[in-house]
Amino acid sequence: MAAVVLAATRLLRGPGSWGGARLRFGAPACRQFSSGGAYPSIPLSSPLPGVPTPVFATVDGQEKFETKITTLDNGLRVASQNKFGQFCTSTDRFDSKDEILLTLEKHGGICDCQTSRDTTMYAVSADSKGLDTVVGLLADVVLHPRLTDEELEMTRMAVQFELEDLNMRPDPEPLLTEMIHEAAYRGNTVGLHRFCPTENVAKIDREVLHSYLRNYYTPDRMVLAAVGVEHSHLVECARKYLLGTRPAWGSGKAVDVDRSVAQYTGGIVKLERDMSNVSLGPAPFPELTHIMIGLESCSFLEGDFIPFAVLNMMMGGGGSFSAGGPGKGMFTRLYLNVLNRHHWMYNATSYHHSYEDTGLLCIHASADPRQVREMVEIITKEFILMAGTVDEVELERAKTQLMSMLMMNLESRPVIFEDVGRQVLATCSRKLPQELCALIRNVKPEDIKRVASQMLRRKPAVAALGDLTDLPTYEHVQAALSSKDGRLPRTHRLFR
Amino acid sequence: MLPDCLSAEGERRCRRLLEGATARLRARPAAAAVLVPLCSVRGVPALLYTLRSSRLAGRHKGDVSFPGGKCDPADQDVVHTALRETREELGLAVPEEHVWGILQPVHDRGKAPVVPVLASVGPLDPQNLRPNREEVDEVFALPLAHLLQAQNQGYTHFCQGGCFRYTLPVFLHGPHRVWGLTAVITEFTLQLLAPGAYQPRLASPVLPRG
Repeated sequence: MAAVVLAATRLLRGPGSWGGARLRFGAPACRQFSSGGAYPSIPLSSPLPGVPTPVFATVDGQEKFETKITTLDNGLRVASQNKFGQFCTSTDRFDSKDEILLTLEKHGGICDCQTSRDTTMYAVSADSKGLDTVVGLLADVVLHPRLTDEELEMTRMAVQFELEDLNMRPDPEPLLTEMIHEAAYRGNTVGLHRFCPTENVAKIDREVLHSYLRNYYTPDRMVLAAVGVEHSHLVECARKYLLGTRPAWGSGKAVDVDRSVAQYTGGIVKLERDMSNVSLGPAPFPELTHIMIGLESCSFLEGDFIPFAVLNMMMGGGGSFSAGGPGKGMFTRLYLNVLNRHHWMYNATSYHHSYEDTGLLCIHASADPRQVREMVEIITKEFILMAGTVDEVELERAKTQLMSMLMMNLESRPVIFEDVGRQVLATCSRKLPQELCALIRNVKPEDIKRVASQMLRRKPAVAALGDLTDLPTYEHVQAALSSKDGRLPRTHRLFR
Repeated sequence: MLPDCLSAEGERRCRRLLEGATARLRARPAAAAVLVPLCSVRGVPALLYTLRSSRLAGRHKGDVSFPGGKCDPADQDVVHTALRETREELGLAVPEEHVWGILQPVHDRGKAPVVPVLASVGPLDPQNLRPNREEVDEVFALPLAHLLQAQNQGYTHFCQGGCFRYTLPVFLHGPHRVWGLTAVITEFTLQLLAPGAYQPRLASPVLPRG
């Protein structure tokens, strides 16, 4: 089928795009391969006659092509992955302005920049003929940012807006994620806030940005990744634009690079807030208290990462008002054991954050403030059950779900190059999807039990937001997670 | 340089260096004391660590640490506390003559100091020890050579209230990660035993003096 798609796009681009078979433009040519009338029945598994052999799209559909990686003299890594089609996407580390957009327009391109806790990505998607321009553009944008006062002022306003929006929205998830990281990694590395605190926004200026760029935007911390291009061509462009150029912030040596190892400490972070009126529109939103309980898992470089990913999938969960349906995780543990049985729970979702030297598996739950204690106990019980028996059917379902999610995401080109970029940045190599699927298939119930027991031995991290009057103490949560059944210690209360 | 630290000459040198601190700190009351056991595992000099039981309550459950604990009123001095706790936790009886001295005390976030006591426990095999399961989940040894390799060393900067506070060392790639106060005590030990071979990481502009 891929071969047919390729042929169709070539057809639409007009005649003369290749030598060889001369197919007429327009309807008659298409009809040659369409159904109906007399036509040769060609099975999908054999190539079409009279069509040039496609280079990157093969009939068996397996991604056979390895990711090619080259390291330049200055430490910059260049990686490329072959994929059919005319579009190439490349990422480095970056900012958009009108001239950039105009240049890209000539090549049918779009650009984007995203930051996460441990990486920043600058991405450009454009026609593959424009590879040279695109790499030049990225290099210019990464190494020579102008950072005018006007741009900085606008960015400051955007950051302020983002902070206000964060505190106003009914969905607390980004805020809770920050809080759980702060609780789990007190005062260090990934525990530091991702969103700039209000008091610091005004202090950031060109000098501050330049000193950050000088230390962290060094070639050995960068990867140029592309999908859908010839590797040698990419390396050539990289050499031309990224090797030996002097960046805008000068060639001072990077002195203050923070190579801190992330240290999991565990702990609790509470934010008392009146959530009775968070609805942004006329319809009322129920008052909820949100808690997140997390435990240290492992980094994505370790072998135990895959069992943790499967465990996370097995726990699953989501909102109680989900429409459900196939593939939505309706048979995961948090739905079956928690949301289906306790109708007062609004939300129970499992998350797994994983970084180069550490990882965090957490469960987010929300309910009415008067039922915080029961909610916490239900979640601690679920944690304890993770280290218990794992049903074979449940495990197979989680594994299949994980593999299909992986494959579906990798069908999209921007996701492929993000994957290539991240993996090469962390490990200087890339595991192909088939290898990952093989690793997922090998996960056994004993692996799940082992990683869950290991996880439960560590101190928990707790984040709580909303009306916290009935929240159990951190020591009680810790005791519950070390007990056999996950129950909170009994407290004697006179009034209930 | 490394094999020397277990020799008689190395021992004399360390005892001499620690004499002053030992005399000063021995009788001073402290919150807790730990024993830093310098042992020899199959001929290789190593430090012995414990993994605290996850069944313990309190802030340090499940952490890697040295054998030790709170000072009891019945203990004569900090050395006595360290040796008693080691006997209770690991079943290892270390005679007082094997204690080389007292290292710099460390502070557990503003609380009263924890005093490390360095002793040589001779050749032993961690597998043969019978630790008390209620307090200790696991006992393991890390060779000094492993601790002195740069690729096994790391550091973490800690911030509080938006500014940098202190840096702590961390030792990686062993059976368990050694961090926190235990890593700080390990650092002091390495500086003593192998001077010049170890680049210290601990940095604290505002840590109170002990």
